Amino acid sequence: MAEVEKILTSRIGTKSSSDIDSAMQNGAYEALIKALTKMTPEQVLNEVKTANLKGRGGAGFPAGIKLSFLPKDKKSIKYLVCNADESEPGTFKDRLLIENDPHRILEGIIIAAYAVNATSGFIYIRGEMASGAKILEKAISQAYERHFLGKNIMGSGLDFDIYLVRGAGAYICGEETALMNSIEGKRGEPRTKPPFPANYGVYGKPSNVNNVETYANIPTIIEKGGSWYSKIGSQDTPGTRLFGLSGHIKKPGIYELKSNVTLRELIYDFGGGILGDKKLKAVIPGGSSVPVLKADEINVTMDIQGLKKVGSMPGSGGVIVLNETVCIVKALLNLITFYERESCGQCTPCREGTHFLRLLIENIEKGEGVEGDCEKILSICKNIMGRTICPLGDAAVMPVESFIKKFRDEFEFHIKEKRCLPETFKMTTIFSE
Amino acid sequence: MTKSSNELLSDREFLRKIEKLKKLYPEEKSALLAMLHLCQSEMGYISLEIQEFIAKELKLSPAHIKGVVTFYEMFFDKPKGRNLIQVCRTLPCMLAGGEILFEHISTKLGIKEGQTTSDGKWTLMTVECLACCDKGPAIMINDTLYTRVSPREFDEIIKDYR
Amino acid sequence: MALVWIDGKEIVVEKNETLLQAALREGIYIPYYCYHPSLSIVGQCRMCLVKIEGMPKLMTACNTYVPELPKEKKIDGKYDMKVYTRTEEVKEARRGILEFLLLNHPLDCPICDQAGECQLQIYSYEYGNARSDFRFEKLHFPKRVELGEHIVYDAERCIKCTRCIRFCNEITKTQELTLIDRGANTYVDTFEGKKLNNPYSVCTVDICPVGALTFKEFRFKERVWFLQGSNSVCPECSRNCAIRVDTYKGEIMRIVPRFNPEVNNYFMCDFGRLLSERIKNKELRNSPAIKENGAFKVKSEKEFYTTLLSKITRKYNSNEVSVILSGRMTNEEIEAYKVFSLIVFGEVVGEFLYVTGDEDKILIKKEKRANYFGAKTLKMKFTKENEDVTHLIKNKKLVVIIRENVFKGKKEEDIKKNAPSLETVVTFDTFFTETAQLSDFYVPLAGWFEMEGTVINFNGQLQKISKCITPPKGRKPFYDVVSTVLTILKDMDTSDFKSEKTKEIESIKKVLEEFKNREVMNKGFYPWFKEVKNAIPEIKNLSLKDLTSFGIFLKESGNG
Ligand SMILES: Cc1cc2nc3c(=O)[nH]c(=O)nc-3n(C[C@H](O)[C@H](O)[C@H](O)COP(=O)(O)O)c2cc1C
Ligand code: SF4
Ligand code: SF4
Ligand code: FES
Ligand code: FES
Repeated sequence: MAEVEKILTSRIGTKSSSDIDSAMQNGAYEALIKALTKMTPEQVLNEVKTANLKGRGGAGFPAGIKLSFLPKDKKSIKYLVCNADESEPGTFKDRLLIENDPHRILEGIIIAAYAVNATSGFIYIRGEMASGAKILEKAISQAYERHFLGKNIMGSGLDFDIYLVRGAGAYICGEETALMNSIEGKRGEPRTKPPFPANYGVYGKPSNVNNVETYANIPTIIEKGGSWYSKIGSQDTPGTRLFGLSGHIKKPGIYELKSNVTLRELIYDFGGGILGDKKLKAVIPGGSSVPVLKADEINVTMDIQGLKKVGSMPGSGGVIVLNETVCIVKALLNLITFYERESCGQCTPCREGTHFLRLLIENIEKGEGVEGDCEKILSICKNIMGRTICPLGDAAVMPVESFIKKFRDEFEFHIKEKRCLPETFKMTTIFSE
Repeated sequence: MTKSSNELLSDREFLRKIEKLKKLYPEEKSALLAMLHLCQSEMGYISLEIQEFIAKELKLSPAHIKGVVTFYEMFFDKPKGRNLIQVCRTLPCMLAGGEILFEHISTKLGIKEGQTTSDGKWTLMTVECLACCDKGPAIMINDTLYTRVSPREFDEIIKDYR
Repeated sequence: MALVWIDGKEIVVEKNETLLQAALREGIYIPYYCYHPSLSIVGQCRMCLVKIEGMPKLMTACNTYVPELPKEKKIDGKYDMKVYTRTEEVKEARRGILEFLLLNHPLDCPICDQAGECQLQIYSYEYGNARSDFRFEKLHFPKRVELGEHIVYDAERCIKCTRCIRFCNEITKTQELTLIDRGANTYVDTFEGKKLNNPYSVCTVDICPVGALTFKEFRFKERVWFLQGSNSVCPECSRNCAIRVDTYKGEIMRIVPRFNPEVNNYFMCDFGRLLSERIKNKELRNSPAIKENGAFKVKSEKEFYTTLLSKITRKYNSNEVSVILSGRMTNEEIEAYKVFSLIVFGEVVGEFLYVTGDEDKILIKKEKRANYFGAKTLKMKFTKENEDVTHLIKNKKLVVIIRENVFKGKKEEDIKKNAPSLETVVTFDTFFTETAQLSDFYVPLAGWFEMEGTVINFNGQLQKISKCITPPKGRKPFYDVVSTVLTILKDMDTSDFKSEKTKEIESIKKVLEEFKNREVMNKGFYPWFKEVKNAIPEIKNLSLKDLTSFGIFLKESGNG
């Protein structure tokens, strides 16, 4: 079992951890003070680069490199954006940080602001997280009171404000350019790229978007050094990650682990095994948008290299476990319905394609599928994949393609027999005795 | 919670909040979602009059406001029940028993998805993943999140609502 | 500037130009829907996918710019990009997009106005069996929605390309339209009670690539493939928007803007377009007539002009005459008028009505007569801005009016009051207007769409109008009237003028002498066009061919 390292959750569980006093008793803002007083912006940026911190929002892009895409000058307006839209099915790690240690997030953002001379920051929190928004609001005002935000922060010459924006129910607003449109009071439709946010972001100004968890890593990197951080756990995704276990698992929840933990360890050692003591059927290892794995594909590490071996990706770290009582057609119908409902509708393949896919899969599920449906589904996938403005199109296709390819027999069974596999007649739930 | 458009537009406190929101962000237009949230919490939905009012306040076209209101799932342009129940329908919650819970709620209240009880007390909707999948099935009633909700617990929870 | 290889052809792509723009410029065909040259680029329809060498995915040509590569990185030693637009992969992708677009489309081409000019229909023929084996219930959307006074919207036919929305946001900046809802439920709508009624609203119909937006006044009128199109310009203001007039069996069915980058780009205002409706059911006469005992009597051309000329030629002092002219006259008509005036009055007299109205920053100009600037270029005189006609006719004995309805809303008594001594009113105009009815002599003229001519816009752009429909014989352009007059005069006994002043008879003879050998005696547009060329040094060597599409720019004309 991989050794447990606590970077992100070290303060969580302590008394009133979201309050600034108690957080500061446990080290909050020490890294910021260190950065402001002992380091130049270049040094700070270099530490983040050296740490090889990978984005935790899903795509895993190196955070230091992305920050360095921003123009270097001191004068122009530059925005830092913290993506707290957390809406990827199976993902609930940012909520943990927001509700329990908001100052770690703020500290990370302010350090990043110092590194790149950013003028202000936005935290975009999904609309449904009403209590999280209140906690963040309070944390922000406490940070202002302590002069960690505002003009000439701690006498360093850095001026930096943070604005909180509440979303209003749209998964697509987690996509960084849709998020920026939403901040601007528009429909959350992704923008075509180029131009990239580093040149043309919020209100057309250079902007950098990172996930909550990504920012939350920065204080520790500054505190302990980038090279220390880069050596923790997996080489391709150093540091720890907040893995979320959900679905048919005995001990669901968030686990902070190094990403060289294997999926098997995660499920059986940390998660306590499969709910209902049934056989494992499938696992979605990184939020609903990554390809699904079969039960025999879990002996891999949870980093980029490991999951690549079985054709999947670490994504957002949300691990969804399905036991043998799950009808795979129904599970896929659930997911494709999600993407159909969440497509912004701008581009043809995603708008029409997700709808078409849902119809076909729903039909199979209802026992009305016809021969050739699986092929039709795969050909629609081909016409969506890589042909859309934003990655939501791909995100919808990846589960569909992988479900069909890996569980083709079960789909064909539905089409031929017009019913579910017998073992899926009664699905395990937390209400099953 | 359910003021009329006219009441709202002559409510000093409300107008003061709107003014404050206008100044909250580097650019006024960023306040749009916040204003819509505010209006909805006051009225229960966002009426056409209010949409026009906000359009004027932010110097946006009414069509723009309409586009935004209809885009985001949390905004309603028509009246709904006094309380909104949103049941998470996404895979992790479904695996936890979300469908059983939804069926229970639907039977208990006698309404289907998208419907409002005849006394105007409840509107029932489904919602996508609420980011608490480890604690499914999850539901939201208005702004409050409830997790690991069993049918029996649901019956208890709703006793607190009027 | 970059060098791009497309399907074996080398093309140059400018720095601020997209691949699609460059390809279209070079006649390389890439299908597209959401791109429109006058609107922002959104890359939403995904129809313009092409294969770019070195890229793992197909790319949308409409938002791909081509950066110049350093020398050592050039492909094949010289190209900055290699593009394939006709590979199987590309064709398959286009077929895929079409299949998606047709999923919820009602496929009602037989009753659709757009049939024949629908990009969905055109591409579907091309890519064949794109219509899928779709066995599901289609999504239903609002149909026959009156988005505006002239615009009907069918959301089921809409492909959500957002061209119409961008037009209202970017060109008119009126922002009536928005997408509503999201995902597959998305469609175009207005805010309740705020219709799409901006002064350019019907342009949305022109730019809609499918039959989702239709022009109410044209709905179900005629299948587009039966229409015959002629080039002209809009007569309603000094912008002179280039237009195409679509006719069917000699009747005007609709007016649509015609691309002219120097004048109006792709657009025109609704007011101009709706001229086709305004000219319907107006009273027309087809032969010249003289009022006798309060009623008009049709006369033969010869009799009419002999009577008219002997009545007005050199009969009055110039302060007893008022000639009211119109910027609706083409350059050729103006030149012809000069000759007419020399003969009848011994000098070029008359004033053009300077009629103005609202103007905007888009197309609509202040001067409400198309050829205001032509008349200026030809050095004609003008009244004061919107001057009242009562001034102009005060104490006059003879009033001649060409192409203006100056007595609109006036009664005979009003006129008498202002000009008690008025003896003769002569009107030349297309329609049998109030003014025509109050006249003693009425000559019907060919209408704007019934004749050839040239006009000059506010900016100095000289364009040509053409005979979109053929008028009955009796209605002619004013220049043909003058040619007729010259011919008749030639054979006339000068004593018919009943003028005592032999000096003047001599002068008429001189004018006639001068024109005897000029081609204008033969009637028709071209000889008068030559007269116009003679009058404007800048276009001395212009040939008609130079005027075929966009016209030419005159430095010395227009507002500068
Ligand atoms: C459809 C879609 C939804 C996304 N949702 C989120 C989200 O909820 N939170 C998040 O941090 N990133 C989300 N992303 C990824 C963001 O676009 C962006 O890559 C990320 O915020 C960058 O931060 P990182 O580099 O720190 O991961 C989403 C992307 C897509 C395409
Ligand atoms: S891929 Fe889907 S979500 Fe993304 S821009 Fe296109 S329609 Fe919108
Ligand atoms: S109505 Fe026409 S122009 Fe407007 S979005 Fe639909 S298809 Fe495009
Ligand atoms: S699936 Fe219900 S909270 Fe994530
Ligand atoms: S024309 Fe390129 S995406 Fe529409």
